Amino acid sequence: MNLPMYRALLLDATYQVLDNKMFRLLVLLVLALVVPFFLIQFRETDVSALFGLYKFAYETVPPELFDWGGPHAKETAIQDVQEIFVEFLAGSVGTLFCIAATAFFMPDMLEKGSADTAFSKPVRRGVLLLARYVSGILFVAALASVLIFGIYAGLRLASGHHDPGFLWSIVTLVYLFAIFHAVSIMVGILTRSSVTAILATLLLFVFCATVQFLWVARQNYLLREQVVFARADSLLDGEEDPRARGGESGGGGPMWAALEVAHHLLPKTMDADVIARKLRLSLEPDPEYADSTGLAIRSVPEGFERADAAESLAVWTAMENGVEVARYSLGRESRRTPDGKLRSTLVAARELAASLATSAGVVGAPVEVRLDLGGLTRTRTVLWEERRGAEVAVRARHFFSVKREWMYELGVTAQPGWLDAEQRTAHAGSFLHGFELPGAESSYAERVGFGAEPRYNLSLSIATSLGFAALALLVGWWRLARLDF
Amino acid sequence: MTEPSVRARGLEKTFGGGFRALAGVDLEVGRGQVFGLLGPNGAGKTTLIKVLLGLVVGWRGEAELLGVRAGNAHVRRRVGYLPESHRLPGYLTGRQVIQLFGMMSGAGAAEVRARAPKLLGEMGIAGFADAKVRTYSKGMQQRLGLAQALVHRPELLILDEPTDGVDPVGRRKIREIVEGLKREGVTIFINSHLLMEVELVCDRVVIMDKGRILREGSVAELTAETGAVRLVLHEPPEDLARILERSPLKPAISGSTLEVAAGIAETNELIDLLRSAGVRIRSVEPRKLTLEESFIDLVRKERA
Repeated sequence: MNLPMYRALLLDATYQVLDNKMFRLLVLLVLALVVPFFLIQFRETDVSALFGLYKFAYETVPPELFDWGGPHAKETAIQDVQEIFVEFLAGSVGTLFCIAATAFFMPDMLEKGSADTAFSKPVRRGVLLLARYVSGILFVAALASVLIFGIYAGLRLASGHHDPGFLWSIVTLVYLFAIFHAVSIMVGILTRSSVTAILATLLLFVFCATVQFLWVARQNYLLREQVVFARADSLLDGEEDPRARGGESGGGGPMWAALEVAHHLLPKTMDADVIARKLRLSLEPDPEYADSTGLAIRSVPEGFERADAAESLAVWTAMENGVEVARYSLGRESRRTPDGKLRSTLVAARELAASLATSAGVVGAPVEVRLDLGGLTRTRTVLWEERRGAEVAVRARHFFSVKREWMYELGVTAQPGWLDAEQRTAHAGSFLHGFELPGAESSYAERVGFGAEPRYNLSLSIATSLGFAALALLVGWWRLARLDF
Repeated sequence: MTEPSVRARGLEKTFGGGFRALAGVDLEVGRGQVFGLLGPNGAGKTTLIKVLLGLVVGWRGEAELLGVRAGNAHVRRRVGYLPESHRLPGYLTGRQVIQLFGMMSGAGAAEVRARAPKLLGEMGIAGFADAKVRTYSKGMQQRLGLAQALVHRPELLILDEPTDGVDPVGRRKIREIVEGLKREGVTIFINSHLLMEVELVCDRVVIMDKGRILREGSVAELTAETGAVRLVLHEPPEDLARILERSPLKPAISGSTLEVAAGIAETNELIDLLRSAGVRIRSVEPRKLTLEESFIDLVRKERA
């Protein structure tokens, strides 16, 4: 291997990128996007801009715009803003800009005069092609690094938000660009025209996004339909497995078949965001609680600590002056009844309420409420008060199901002086809101993963997308090897 | 036995559309020669060079560079090439061009770094070493192009129109560089329209047209004597034409120059005639064809 040769090609790529006016303009734009993160402070309840000169509370943001009213408003707000900057601005608009800015790399080298000098050197044509490909990757890697690391540093310094997983976005942005840059290189070689390379690549970008959008929308529809059937069935006497009703592809006419084929052959560009999120999760610390059903609890309410649990899966208690004032206990049971049917959370809550109504220690009538945990998941909650010796303990039990087979109960026991009734429900709701449920897998986003079945498998998605890019480069190389200069 | 620097046998190349650029070229360039390639536009000269350098593919026949089949990337480490109407990357400085192209040609980074100032100095562009190539004039780019072709000390240097866009001083400089390289034993293959230059520096010359070699030989062979003699007179008398009427040779008069097809005896008879008439003679020399005349004559005959 000739190291000076490869070093020269790399240096050439670097000089070309640094000299590019569009690159410098994009660097300035990226810096303009990053600087606000150093000037804006995301706090627990509000956002403070320009060192306190301007403030707004999360709750003033219309919920239809952003749902920043929850107990984790700061994290939610930061995540939403990051998504706008990374997924929309960088992942879509930025990628389009970068495609336009780098499309001339190959046609320029193939121009008469340039080609004679470059291709008469003792460098194989394929290596020169790869060198130009790497130039583009360097171009975007530099921009993505400034953007993502800048945002990360800004959030860390100004808002105290530490999220190293966010840095994975550099990789996914480069990954997304690498796919389309390969196409741009191929078209550049086939046509020797920058304009055609830009237009063809942009068209493919839009086409791929449209195909995947339609495919995901259809999958979401089919998956949701299954869950709705399952939920309806679970309230009735029994249910059959909805997957047995015709599979997830849902059949359909030739249009859907074409969509299916196109989706599997084309790069799955929308997956870049999902990959970033999954990679990000992989860097997060181990959850406070996790079990085999996929339920994970990453944090517990302030003041609570894990305690020994004999009969429950986990117990968290809050102490004041050495005395326990509140306790959360997590339990689980199968929804499957002895006759093989599934028991609903509604039935479980009603049975509990009925038994409490006749129980001697219960004060007053139990109350049934529902707490929304997001998506299709809601709890059925029973609230009641229970006499314990001279004291009256406040109790609650929240039922929710996980993966159709399991029903969880979060029991709450508190001293009457620990928060008022409304605050207690809000406290439990806030705790439950932080639960990461594996979900009913009612959407593509929930199903997709590195270990998922082939249809939703991210490794396969990456492999086919990169395969598409490799094929484009291969076609480019095949043509380049046959060009006369 | 040392392999020739360039060897071609029955070399053919037909481009898409059926244009036959090379129609069976046989050629051999020995080591250390300065070899000139002449021909009108479209003769196939540049195609021949591009076949040798792997810039054109899909040819038939045999073509070798330094004993290795043409198109082999590895052998190009031993070759320097200055393309016609080349375009060096505008985003690089002159110094970067020398360094990067030298490294791409297989030379070490330290070596090209050390050699760059000397080469740029020799080309007369040292003052612009750190300026971007896009700010260079055409002549400066041509000199830089030559420098990048030399940076890795090639055994074979291929120059396609090396003095294109270069001023007379620059041309002379390039000629001196070529002569210096020739002394060092570098084989030089020149394709140029400027026949005077080829005549001045080349040992052997090939004249091509329509993809074929019309003639090959040394400059002396191609510029052979014509059998004519040229006499330059000192202040020719007004009645010169009348004096010459006495000669059976009927020389052509052009100002103070007489040109006549004559052997040694006839030339001396003419001199005697002129001297006896009191005409003073400045010089007498056999008339030779210039390379240009030889080239035009050959191409005309071929096309006729």
